[in-house]
Amino acid sequence: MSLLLSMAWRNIWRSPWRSGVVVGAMALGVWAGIFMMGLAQGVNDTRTANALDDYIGHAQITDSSFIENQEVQAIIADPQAWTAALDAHPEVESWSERLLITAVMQSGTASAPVQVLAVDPEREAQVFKAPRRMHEGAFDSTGITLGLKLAEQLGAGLGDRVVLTFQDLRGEIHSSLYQVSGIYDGISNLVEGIQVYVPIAELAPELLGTADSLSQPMVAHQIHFRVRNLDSLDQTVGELTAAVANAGSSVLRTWRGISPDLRYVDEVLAQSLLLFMAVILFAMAFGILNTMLMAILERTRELGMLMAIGMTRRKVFRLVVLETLLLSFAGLPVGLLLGHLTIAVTSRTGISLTGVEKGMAELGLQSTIYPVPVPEYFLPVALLVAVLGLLSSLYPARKALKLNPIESMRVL
Amino acid sequence: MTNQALLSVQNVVKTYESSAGPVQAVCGVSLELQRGAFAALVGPSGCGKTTLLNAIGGLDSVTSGRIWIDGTEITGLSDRKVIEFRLHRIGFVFQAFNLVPVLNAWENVAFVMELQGLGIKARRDRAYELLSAVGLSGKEIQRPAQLSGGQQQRVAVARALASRPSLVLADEPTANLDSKSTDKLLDIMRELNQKEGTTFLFSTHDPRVINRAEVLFPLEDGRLQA
Repeated sequence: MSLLLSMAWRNIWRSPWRSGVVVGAMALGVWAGIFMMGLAQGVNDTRTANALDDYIGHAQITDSSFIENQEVQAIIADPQAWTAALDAHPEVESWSERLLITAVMQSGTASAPVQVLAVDPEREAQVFKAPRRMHEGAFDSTGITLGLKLAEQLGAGLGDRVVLTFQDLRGEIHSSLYQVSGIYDGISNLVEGIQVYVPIAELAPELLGTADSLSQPMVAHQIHFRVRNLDSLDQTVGELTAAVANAGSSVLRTWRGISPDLRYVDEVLAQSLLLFMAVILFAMAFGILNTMLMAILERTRELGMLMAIGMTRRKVFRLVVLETLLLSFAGLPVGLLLGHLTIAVTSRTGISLTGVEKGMAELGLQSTIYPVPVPEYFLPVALLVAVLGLLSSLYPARKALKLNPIESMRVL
Repeated sequence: MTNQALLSVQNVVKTYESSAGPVQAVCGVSLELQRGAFAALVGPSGCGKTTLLNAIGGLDSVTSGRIWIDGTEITGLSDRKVIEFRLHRIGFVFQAFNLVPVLNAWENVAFVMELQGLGIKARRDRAYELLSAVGLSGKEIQRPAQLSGGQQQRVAVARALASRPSLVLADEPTANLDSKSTDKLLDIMRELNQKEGTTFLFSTHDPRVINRAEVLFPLEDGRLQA
């Protein structure tokens, strides 16, 4: 090891308490920053996972015109070709076809706009979790299933009758009577308040006309599916697209395409977290700068002597920069390790926020947050520490650079 | 400058600006020092010894006059060149030892060689050899705080010699030492002067140093006395 490096390291510990406080503060700052990053990442991952489980799914097949205007006529041209490909692909865990219409729901006391999902309950429950979280009744083919929030809003309970009014395929207004057979408790209040489920076998004839329904073994606006491994989703989507030779105007989109806002949140979050860490480290940099200025002031005589015996100003500058960087970096591994360990523990136990459960539900979140390890941020954080350490070394190093050997050695 | 002279000082003047007006600390001093000499600038406090010694060592500029060391006019060198010159050609021993407290004895000696760019083995060997020469074998890994004042000054002498300089400038090196340590230090410096042929120039008013010096340059009010 270079004597200069060794000297820089030992110089830091000439005032153990002072340096210890700075190193401790840096470790604490990095720990807090990393933990907050893990927590925020955990919140976002949970929110994304809940959205995928509740209403987006991993990927979706739909007609391109349905994406643009959600017109009821825009059904998938050849859904059997897709379902055959989905059944054949080993990575596809489950799939569910849907008819999707907007309607007005009337109970005995109130009405509300709703989004009607006509599904095969068994298949739907294999792709989405919302119908599996039943508050009352069952998610089956016997009637309509509402979200808890909507049920409260309409004053509708299990066994009550509600009327759905919607436009059918021929453009005529159609009303159907359903009995409430189930009330689900979704994670997101937004979804709970608007999405209702009816059996596709019941809605399809009403929407298309009996003759059309009989002539087609399957009719769907969307086919959602789940994959076994979300990391290989893009590859699976590519293979499925290739497998369906005559897709027509049908398109296959992953969750990122269906809900770009989730993807943007990911990107914005990554930048925000680094910005957050930069703010913490920026505050730390002032402490480091102050410590180094004090160190230079205390060692004026010594630095003058070093220059007198032949140490160039450039090397004095380098020594001060080196000391500042070492001081900045000394707390980094401790902070990273503590942050990582804290996340490792809380990612198993979770952090309960039961006091703000309702607010969390509005955001589509459960009240227990599970932070996730964020090793991908370690290098950027280290680079931030290096940059801020370097910046905070410039002023003390410049001070040292301006010392005059003779005058410095006169300092007592 | 004569052919054999290692140091030649010609009509050097150093004037300081003070609140009371300009103060002439060195007034037209000229002297020559032969290679291998064991010499001293002597005189009472404030006579300009340290000012002249600093000017010779290139630590301070001169108001007028010229100084040559080993054929190089240091008064004409840039700041960077003077530092380089000092590193390779001049060794310093200060009154207050001025060792680096975080480095042990051999590292303090080796530090100058590190600045010169010598490899670790060469540095270590030379440092141990010099510490042995100044009677500090076995103290190599002790830090300055673990050494007595006399021992620290001997480390400083070893450090001054580490770069194999032509000239060692020692500013009141015995001022903070007791008699025993002073004698020991002077014995060592004299031995190194004779053995390695290094030229020593002291600034002192210590009679023990004056008695051991071969050549004396008496100064009074900034002027060299005949």
